Amino acid sequence: MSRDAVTIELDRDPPDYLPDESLSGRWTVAVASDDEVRSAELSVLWYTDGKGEEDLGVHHFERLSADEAGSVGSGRGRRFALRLPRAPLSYDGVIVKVCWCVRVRVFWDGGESVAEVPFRLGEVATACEIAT
Amino acid sequence: MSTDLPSDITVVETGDGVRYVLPRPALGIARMMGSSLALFGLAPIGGGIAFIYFSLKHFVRPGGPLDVGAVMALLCPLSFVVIGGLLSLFGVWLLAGHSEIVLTADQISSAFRLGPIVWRGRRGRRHVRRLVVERSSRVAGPTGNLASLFAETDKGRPLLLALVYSPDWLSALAADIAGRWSAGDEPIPVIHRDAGRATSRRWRRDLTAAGGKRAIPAWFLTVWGLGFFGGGILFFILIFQALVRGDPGNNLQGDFPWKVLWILFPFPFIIPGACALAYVRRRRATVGLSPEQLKSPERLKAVDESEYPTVPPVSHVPGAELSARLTPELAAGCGVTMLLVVVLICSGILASLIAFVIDRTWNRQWEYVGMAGFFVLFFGVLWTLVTGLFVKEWRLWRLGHPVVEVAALPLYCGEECGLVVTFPGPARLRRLRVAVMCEEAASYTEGDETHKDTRRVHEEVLAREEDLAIERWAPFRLRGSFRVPSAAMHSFKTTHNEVRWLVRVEGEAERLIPLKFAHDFPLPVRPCRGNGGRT
Repeated sequence: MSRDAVTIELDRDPPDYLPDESLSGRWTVAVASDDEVRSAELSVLWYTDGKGEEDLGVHHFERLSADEAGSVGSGRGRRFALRLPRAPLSYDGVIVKVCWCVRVRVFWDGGESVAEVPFRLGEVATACEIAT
Repeated sequence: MSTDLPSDITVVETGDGVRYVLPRPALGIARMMGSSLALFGLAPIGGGIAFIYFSLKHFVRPGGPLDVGAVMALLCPLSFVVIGGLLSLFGVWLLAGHSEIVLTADQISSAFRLGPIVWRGRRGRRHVRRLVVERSSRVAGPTGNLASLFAETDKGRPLLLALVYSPDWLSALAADIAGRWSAGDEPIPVIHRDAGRATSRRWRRDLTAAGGKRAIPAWFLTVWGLGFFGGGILFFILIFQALVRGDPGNNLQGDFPWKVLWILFPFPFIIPGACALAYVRRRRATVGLSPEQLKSPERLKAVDESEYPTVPPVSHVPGAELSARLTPELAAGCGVTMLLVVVLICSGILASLIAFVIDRTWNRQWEYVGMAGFFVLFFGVLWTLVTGLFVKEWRLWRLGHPVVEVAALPLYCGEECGLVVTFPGPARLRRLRVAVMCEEAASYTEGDETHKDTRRVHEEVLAREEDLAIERWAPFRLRGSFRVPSAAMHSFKTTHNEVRWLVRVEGEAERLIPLKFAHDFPLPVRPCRGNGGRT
């Protein structure tokens, strides 16, 4: 199974959200057989990018057992919906960036596949460095 | 091979690769550094040898299996001899040595040669991620045009390939190495940076599948922890038994009641060993969990229930004029007090040692003079450093600390906030500046070193004064307001990344030796109110 086998679709396009709004979508796993999937995890999280070491915060986490995850395979899909937090907002800074995404991690016999879809939370402008 | 390779580098083609024979470092600053280091290294060598001689003559006696104190008494000065020897060796290498770089299909290695003495290092090709030309300093001066060349990996220490050459010279060499090594394989990037300041962290993104940073193996920690913990317990039992029996074999040095202090000896082994075992036990609970599950709200015991968990709180007290008085990052007088304690301790030890040296000199006991003089030198350097810091903090404390009050806490993006800044007198300031600013701060690890970088992304200057005379009865006073832009980032703090809003009061006091100061008062800034339909 490849990374492309996991598909995540958000209900909003472009995926721009405001704090406290509802985020919803659907994810599917394309596998030949339901037995391949051992478990799956859906996370809505933020992580930092840029110069510093990566920090990670998980806002929503959902783990599916083999039976539940199997039902997601073969294109049947599974919906998700949740309320977004008030902070941290998405940020494109000079050396600090905050990125939000929906990430699905599928564990199958012999490995795992990860797929993620980024989205934007809030309306923070891109930062520019000021000479000191 | 590049045609730009410096002509003083000898390139030798070998059967399985190529060898670069580098010339001796250029004369001038390198020769001066070499001479200084070679001479400076003799001081710890002499001190260490004197201490060993003194210990062997007066203290160390064969005392059985538990005579650990004797071994420690010899190991400590031996480390001085080794460090001094290495310093001197490095100095002599700068004067008379040279280095070589050997490149094969599988690895890169460096050899620093001084006659028959060779210091070697090597790294596998698959581990090397980049070549780095690191300039020692951008400051104009004798060391401003010196640089080193490293082969960096994503795990372990970088391999030093060459040092004390000019950046341009090393850049040409690095380009040639990268050109030869990249043929038919993943290219090796050459990056330039100043010491302690990385240009990019993007290389973290191009980790190979097997190149990720691995944690210390659990089996190693377990064995290490068991070894330290078990050994410490064994020592404890043996020493305890010996003490209870009155130490009939006199295996523990000293007389009662001081001999009892030996019971403390095993704890430096027991405590780290126990900590390692506890860490392994805790880590076992997280084996097999994804990074998201490790950070999931259900797993985190101390879930932050606040609405803005990544907006750090700041400490404040009720204000006299406005609603809140901000407290500085480090309380006034705290640093002065701590440094004063250290200065007093150092002064006491140093004075005692000097008195001892004078007394022994008077009695012509030169062995004692040599040993104590060594410690006088060590504590003298320490005292000078600590006293210098103390004087600086003391001057800042005497100058006085500003008081900053704001009309509302916490602040919200897009809202205006009143502010009062007071600077006490008397003081004569060459300049004074009050500004509200936003800074990004990121910490990252390269090799074994952790660096921190800061960038300013917003600044609103509220006051800028020059040649300011503040009287005792008329302190400097600024009353105004500022607005955090609605599209600005709110305060954000995690383990390695931070966006911080603060009021900075900085300036320079007019003294015999000008005194620069900068006081930061953090502000908690939350996202705009009203987003998502909330008010």
